[in-house]
Amino acid sequence: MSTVEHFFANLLAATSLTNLKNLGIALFLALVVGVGAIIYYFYTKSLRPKHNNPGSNERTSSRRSFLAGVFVLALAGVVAQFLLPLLELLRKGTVVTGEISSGQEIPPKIANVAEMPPDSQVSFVMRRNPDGSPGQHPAILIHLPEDKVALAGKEFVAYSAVCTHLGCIVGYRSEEDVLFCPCHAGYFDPTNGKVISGPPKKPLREIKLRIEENGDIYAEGWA
Amino acid sequence: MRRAGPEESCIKKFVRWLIERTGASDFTKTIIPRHALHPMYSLGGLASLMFFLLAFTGIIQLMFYTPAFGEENIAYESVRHFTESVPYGFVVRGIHSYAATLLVLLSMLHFLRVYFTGAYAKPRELTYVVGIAAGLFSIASAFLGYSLRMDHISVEAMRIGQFLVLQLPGGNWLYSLIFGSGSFDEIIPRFLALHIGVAGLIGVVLLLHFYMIHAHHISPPYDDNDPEPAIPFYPNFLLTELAAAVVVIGALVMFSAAFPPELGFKFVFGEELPVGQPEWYLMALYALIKTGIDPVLAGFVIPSIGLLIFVIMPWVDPLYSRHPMNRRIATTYGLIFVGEYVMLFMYGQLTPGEQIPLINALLLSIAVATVMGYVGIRLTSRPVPPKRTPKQSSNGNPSYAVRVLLKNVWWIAGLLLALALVLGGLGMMSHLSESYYDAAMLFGGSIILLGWAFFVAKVGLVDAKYLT
Repeated sequence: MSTVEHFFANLLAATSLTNLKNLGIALFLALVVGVGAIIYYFYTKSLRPKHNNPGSNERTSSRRSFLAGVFVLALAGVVAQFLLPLLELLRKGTVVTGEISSGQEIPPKIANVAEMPPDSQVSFVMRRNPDGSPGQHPAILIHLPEDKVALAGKEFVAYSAVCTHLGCIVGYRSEEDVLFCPCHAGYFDPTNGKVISGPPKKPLREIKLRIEENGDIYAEGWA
Repeated sequence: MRRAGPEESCIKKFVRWLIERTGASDFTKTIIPRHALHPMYSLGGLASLMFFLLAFTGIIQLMFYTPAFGEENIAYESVRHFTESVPYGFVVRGIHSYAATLLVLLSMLHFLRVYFTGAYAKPRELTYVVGIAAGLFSIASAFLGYSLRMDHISVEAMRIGQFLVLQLPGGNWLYSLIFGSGSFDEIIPRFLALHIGVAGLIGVVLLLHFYMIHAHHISPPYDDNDPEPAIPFYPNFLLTELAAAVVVIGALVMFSAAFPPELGFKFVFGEELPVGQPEWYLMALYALIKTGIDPVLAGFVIPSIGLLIFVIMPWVDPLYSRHPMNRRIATTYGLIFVGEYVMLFMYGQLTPGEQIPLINALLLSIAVATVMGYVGIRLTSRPVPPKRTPKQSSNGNPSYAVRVLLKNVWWIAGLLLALALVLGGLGMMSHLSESYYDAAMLFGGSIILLGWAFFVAKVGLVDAKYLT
């Protein structure tokens, strides 16, 4: 609905006072050209030879030339209405640039212990794929809730966030304490990355973590 | 100045010289059967128009697309910038997006028309096979193309593509061949190159397709029931197609200005996004993968077998008649395939982000196969004899309506042209005041009217002689 309203609002704006001046100039020019053409037609009428070939009288012949004119004008109109936007686009269009990643090897800082209450998650990117090739592999860091800490033997765990089924991104669901893949309902155990239920067969790859004195957490590499 | 007698105008002389020297006189002599103007037989032509539009808008977009991921998804930003800040960018992207969808849709419909009317019959088997290749390349190129936007849908599609490649025998080798290291900075330029490369392949295959159509001529109607007389390819048929193309282009311009295709959510690492659904033409395949059967089976083996049966059908189908009701094997298989495709498409569409239980899919596909198979066998149970009496032609004696139309054709054309020029003038004003949205709408409307004016003028100029 808004597109239509927007269109009519702009149509009104286009017929505003400044544009009306342009329209006036255009109409005046059209009038001059039209009157000129009519005068020229009648002025040269007597100079033109009469058509007298059999099967085509003057009437159909002038209609044919009129139609040919329509034909050519229509083609010219189509070409003009292609060229006008195209030239504008090519002249005024600009290009986006940005920083290209340097592919650095320093393990990135993911988070600080103080920022992460128990039962929370942070997403980050591994600079290497699990097979060791350089890449950008989505991963997830979880601060386990108290009852799971004893099972896992540590407070912070990190896994590849790429579901082993079809490669969707898994997320941590704090209400059920599971890693969940929204594509096809795959459930993973956050203490060890193993599959609980759903279509995936293989567990999530674990990531080695290093926690500094000041509480900064770094991803060391694939476990 | 027009002169009486046998002398020609210099333009006509030049056109004649051009046709002769370019060796195109072969085309000017070609006669097209009347049924080629029927909408059902125009689908292939429309699809190839979409291809040319895609090439044109693609080249423009290529000048503004940045094929890099960088720190924060530069590719997506460049697409967004092109749509929002480059004059007429939204129209160009809109046409590219809609034309891609239409190319796949029209190719599919064209395929179904050819298949069910038995147009692949001897000697046109290879035209048919080459056409199937063009359709498959179109889908591949469309997939690669919509991955380039780098929104949540693209990333999902890329992930599934990567996963499927890894499942193949020799998957790791193939993976590094196609995706490099697998980082987005490497995938995006590769996908861009492949997108254009595959599009170029479509062009080559289409040329082959056209060449073979020219060599073997357009297939006669399946029931030998062609309304006479045939029409000359040049100028009648060519100009009709041109007028139709202009109208379709104008409609596409207006449509993409009124409903610019949406750009999905920007993909950034570590941000949770909704799960993207694939485009509609891949939905059936996606649903098949979602049933949880072996991905190689679902993603490659089953679709390949389904398509291979189509490919070999010209040599399987007994061709004593091309009428669909006389070809039991072809018609029944076609109906079953279409039924399964539609069923899987709908199942996939209705279950976004959910697994499809294998047993449900299996039972449904058996049910669909039974119903469609039954319909196919019933339809082909009684042979249809060929019609020997062609329809009475109205040649030389146009109806009253046609005569009135021909008499008034000149002012209809003039009126259409005048209306188009008014719209074009308004568009010009919007263009000068830099409101490109309105300009695109008005130019689109004007192009549609110009197409009609072109058509009506053509009727008066070249068809009048031929109709009366």
